[in-house]
Amino acid sequence: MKRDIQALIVVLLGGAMVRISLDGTYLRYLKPAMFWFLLAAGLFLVGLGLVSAWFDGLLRKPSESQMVTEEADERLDAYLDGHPHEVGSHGIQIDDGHGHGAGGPRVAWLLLLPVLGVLFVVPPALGAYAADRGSVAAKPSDVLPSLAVGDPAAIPVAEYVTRAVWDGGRTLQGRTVQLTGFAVRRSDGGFDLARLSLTCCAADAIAAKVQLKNLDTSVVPDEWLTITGRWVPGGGVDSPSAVPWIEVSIAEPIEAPDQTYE
Amino acid sequence: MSTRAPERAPRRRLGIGSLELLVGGLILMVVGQRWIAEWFQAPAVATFTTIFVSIVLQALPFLVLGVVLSACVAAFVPASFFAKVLPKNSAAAVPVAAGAGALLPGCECASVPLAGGLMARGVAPAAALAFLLSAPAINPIVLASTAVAFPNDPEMVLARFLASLGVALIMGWLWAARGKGEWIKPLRRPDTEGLSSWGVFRVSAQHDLLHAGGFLVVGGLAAAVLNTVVPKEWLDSVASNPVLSIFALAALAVILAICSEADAFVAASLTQFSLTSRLVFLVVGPMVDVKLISLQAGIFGRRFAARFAPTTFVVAVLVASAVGWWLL
Repeated sequence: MKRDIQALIVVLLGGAMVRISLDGTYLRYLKPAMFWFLLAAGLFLVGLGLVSAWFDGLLRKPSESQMVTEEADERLDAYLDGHPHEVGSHGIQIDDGHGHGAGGPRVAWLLLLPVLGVLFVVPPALGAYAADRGSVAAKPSDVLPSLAVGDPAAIPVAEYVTRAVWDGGRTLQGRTVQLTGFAVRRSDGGFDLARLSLTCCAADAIAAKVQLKNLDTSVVPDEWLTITGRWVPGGGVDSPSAVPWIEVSIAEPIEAPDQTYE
Repeated sequence: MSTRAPERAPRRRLGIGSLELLVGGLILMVVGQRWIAEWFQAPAVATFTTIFVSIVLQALPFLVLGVVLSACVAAFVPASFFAKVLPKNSAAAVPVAAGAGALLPGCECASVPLAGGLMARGVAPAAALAFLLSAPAINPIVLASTAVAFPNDPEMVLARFLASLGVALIMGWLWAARGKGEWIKPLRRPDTEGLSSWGVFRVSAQHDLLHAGGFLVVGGLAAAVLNTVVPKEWLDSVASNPVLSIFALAALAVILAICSEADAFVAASLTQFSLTSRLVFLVVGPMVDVKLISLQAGIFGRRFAARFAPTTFVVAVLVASAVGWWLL
């Protein structure tokens, strides 16, 4: 791979990271906490790529005084091209981008894939397809505190699931709750309301699901809803694979939130 | 400097080169962006793409950290420094290096390029490899996230620390006793002649980044495919068997390729499994997974990865099972 292209790829990669961190798209793939890491790494790469372009890439002016000597420059070419042992013997024709051994820097072309992915494809946040692959009712680590105040009480889907499955719905009894998530079609034709949570990135997403009982609005998979309803027993208890029930009184379609993950 | 122009001439004669192709391709992508995005709308394809992009984006900042540290080692730390701090005997250097792993506040993507940089600077491979294995598993950030994920089982933190350190030591000593230098491909080092320290830094950082980054993409693709197509139901069918569950979660750790700072939360969610099998998941994950195998093959060579990864997997499963049986 030529040095001018190397610098270009580094700039593209860094630029893509800076762009998606600043415009908020990164929230589809990563936790909000990753913002500064992503931005800092992106800025570093843009800087590195620009400096490289200045010294030996597109921006290089042959007449300008160089920081490296002619001979060292050739060795640098060889090094960056992955031909450390051919230095000198072939002169600069080693820069032709051919004949790399296994695992040579040609593999760096693959770095264009994530760049194209975030700049052109811009895949959506995970949704019903991922949630359909199994959900987890997280076991509480401690005795559950009483439900948040409010009528209805707006709580995360995962919290509802934990209270319903691992505490027999004790803290939900007699309360109206409000949950926000997306619709997932059940195999019996009904719908679940699901929400995914991330620890680090979308590869470790964990889904929490509740089954919507008495749903009289027509919904489609992946549609975002705010559900107001009450807990009713059913769906299983004390099992991580249980999907508890909620009796829906209002199902309101909404725009997908900026932070699709809980 | 006037001799440069004629020397560069052969390159220009090629006409349409890779740079022109790249720029042309990018222009086409800009023009056709809407159509391209439509091809990726099938739910399975979109999920695959999202997971692939996520794995790469999540790992890149840590890879950049590792590359920067490695370039700093190449540019600013004299080789004599490591000769002073590390014992000459590589078997004695292994515990020092493995313990030093606790100081790297990152995950496994940072430790691979850094271990490569250490080796290039003359650190004994056995010591560098012990560092490579211990750093992502026993640093304070990872141990703290493990404590948060397992609030009812604080012994999990101790078990993870001891088992990971144990595997790093055993693998380091194993390499010192049986490893052959020829398994590791010759490490490419910048020719520092004629370059300032910052020049060395820049050249090492760019080379390591492009190299390791490319292999990170290979590993990310593999992990995203496995993550999307392997049904999760097979997990439930083996959860109740104590032996099968250990192998199931060891295999899951290899397949999922999640960051060592996040894996404790995933392990905590696998409540149908025994604590010992989840400890195996936490010990294997930061040391052997598809993304790491690809990175190791890129930096140290395929012959190395083909021996190192399976051996580490076996040692990690055995040590973690033993520690789990003892502590959990």
